[in-house]
Amino acid sequence: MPQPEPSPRPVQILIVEDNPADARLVREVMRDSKILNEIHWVPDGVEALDFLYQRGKHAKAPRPNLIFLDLNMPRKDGRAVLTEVKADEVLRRIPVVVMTSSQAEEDVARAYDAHANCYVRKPIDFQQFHQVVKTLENFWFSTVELPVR
Amino acid sequence: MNAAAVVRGLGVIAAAGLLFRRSPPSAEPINESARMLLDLPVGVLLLLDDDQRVLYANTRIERFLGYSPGEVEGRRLPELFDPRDRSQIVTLLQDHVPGDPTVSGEFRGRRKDGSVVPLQVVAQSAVVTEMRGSKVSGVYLRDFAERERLVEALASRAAQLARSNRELEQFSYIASHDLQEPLRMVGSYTQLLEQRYGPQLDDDAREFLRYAREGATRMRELIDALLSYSRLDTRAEPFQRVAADDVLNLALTNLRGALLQSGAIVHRTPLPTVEVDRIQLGQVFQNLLGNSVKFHGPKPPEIWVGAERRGAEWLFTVRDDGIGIPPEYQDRIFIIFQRLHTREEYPGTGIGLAVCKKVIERHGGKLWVESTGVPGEGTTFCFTLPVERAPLPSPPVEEPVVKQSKVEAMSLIEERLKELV
Repeated sequence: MPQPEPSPRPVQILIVEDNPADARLVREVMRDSKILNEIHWVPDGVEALDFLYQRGKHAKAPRPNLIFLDLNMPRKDGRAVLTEVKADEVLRRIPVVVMTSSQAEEDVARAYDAHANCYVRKPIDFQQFHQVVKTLENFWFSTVELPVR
Repeated sequence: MNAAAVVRGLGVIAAAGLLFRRSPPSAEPINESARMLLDLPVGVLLLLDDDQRVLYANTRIERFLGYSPGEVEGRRLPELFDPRDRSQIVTLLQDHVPGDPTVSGEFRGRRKDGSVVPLQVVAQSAVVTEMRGSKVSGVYLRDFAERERLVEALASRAAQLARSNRELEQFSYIASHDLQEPLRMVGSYTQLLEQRYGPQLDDDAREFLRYAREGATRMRELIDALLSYSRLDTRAEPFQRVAADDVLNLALTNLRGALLQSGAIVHRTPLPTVEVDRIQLGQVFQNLLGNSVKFHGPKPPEIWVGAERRGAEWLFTVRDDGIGIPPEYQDRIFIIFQRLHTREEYPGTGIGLAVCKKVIERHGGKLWVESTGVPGEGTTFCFTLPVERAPLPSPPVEEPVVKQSKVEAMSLIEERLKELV
């Protein structure tokens, strides 16, 4: 199987996650990635939308290629962000990976109802967490084709 | 007023009449079991002679009117009421047509301390019987205020239960989500530290890190255990008829690894068909057999599983020849997270027997242990399950709390009547 060519331009990943330690964990896993990547982190839904619409201090934010979205956050939660992103004609092309510690069936169903691209439960064990992030990276950046813009 | 309840109440009077007649007047007029029956908390039962004098009153009169039965026996019934109501009561009892119960309106009963209590008189002379040459008729007093209090007490109890159920569900969510979060961080970062900086650390630092990581793992096991314990109620399956042998087979399959490793021998006799949550009964077998495998002596464990009929119950036993449980510790083992050994000796969270006990009790059975505590003499766990699961009373449509309690009280009376009459 051919190894993916390191892309000249780094892939942009937005992490929407209120827990900095959790965001950092994704960053740590991605650090060893063969794929050149840039990780951006925002702590809640309000800032996530500022980032996506390039508002305020995120005026120069790049358009992310992938969004990791937590569900339970202060101010504006992940469900609201998901709904707004998927209602926007441009933003809805960005794959959104809902990544949460909730295993409530209702949360899973509602996320897909709101057109989440996938729903992943954060594994409690670090090795498994590592595995999951690697799998996601491989799937979204090597297996599937993403829209150019 | 619920007419059916009145009629049922009158059944009690009928029985009282019978009992009264059966006993010779010279002997103790009411025997012990009759007294228990007549004192059931449904109201005051009085037996009157043709002069409306009280021949007998049950002890409930104490709560209604403040008198002991002895204090009213021999007095005329109307005297227990407000003077303004007395003539009406006399008339009611006199005009009463045999065979048809007469239910009065509200009368002002006078308590011993002079206070007034609203009472309703139910006369029933169909059960009239002869005693000492005098006709005996039954009268039943009901207290509306008391009923109201009962209804309120039941309603508030129901609300309390609903609240605590909600809290339990809330707790399950907190345990599964909010408590796991910080734990995940502790576990993940200690692992990350070990992974990335392990080689640079000295032996002490690595040991400290290992304890931190083990602590996090342990905490996670406890939370998982607590969660599964709380879900025994919230995630229960409906009861269905299953062959206990099939349930045991599955438990043995799940334990195959441990059974093979320990060289255990399992003896079994045929088990009955029971009406249970099969997953939960499976957990019980698995936990009990798992314990037998785990707590064995120097030689491979030998385990006996069987069941026998004991009246309306099946008695299941799981017996082994292991290290046993000293009698002084036997009441502790069913408490969640209680353990009798260090984790180095025998690993585990201490949830297994607490789960077993909760499962068996929510199936209407009992679970207990028999052991001398002498190593090699082993342990026997016994549990019971009902042979027939009583059909639930048809769900009440209106006034659920009141009717339910009434139905229960009445069926209890009817049961006792069948035994006595």
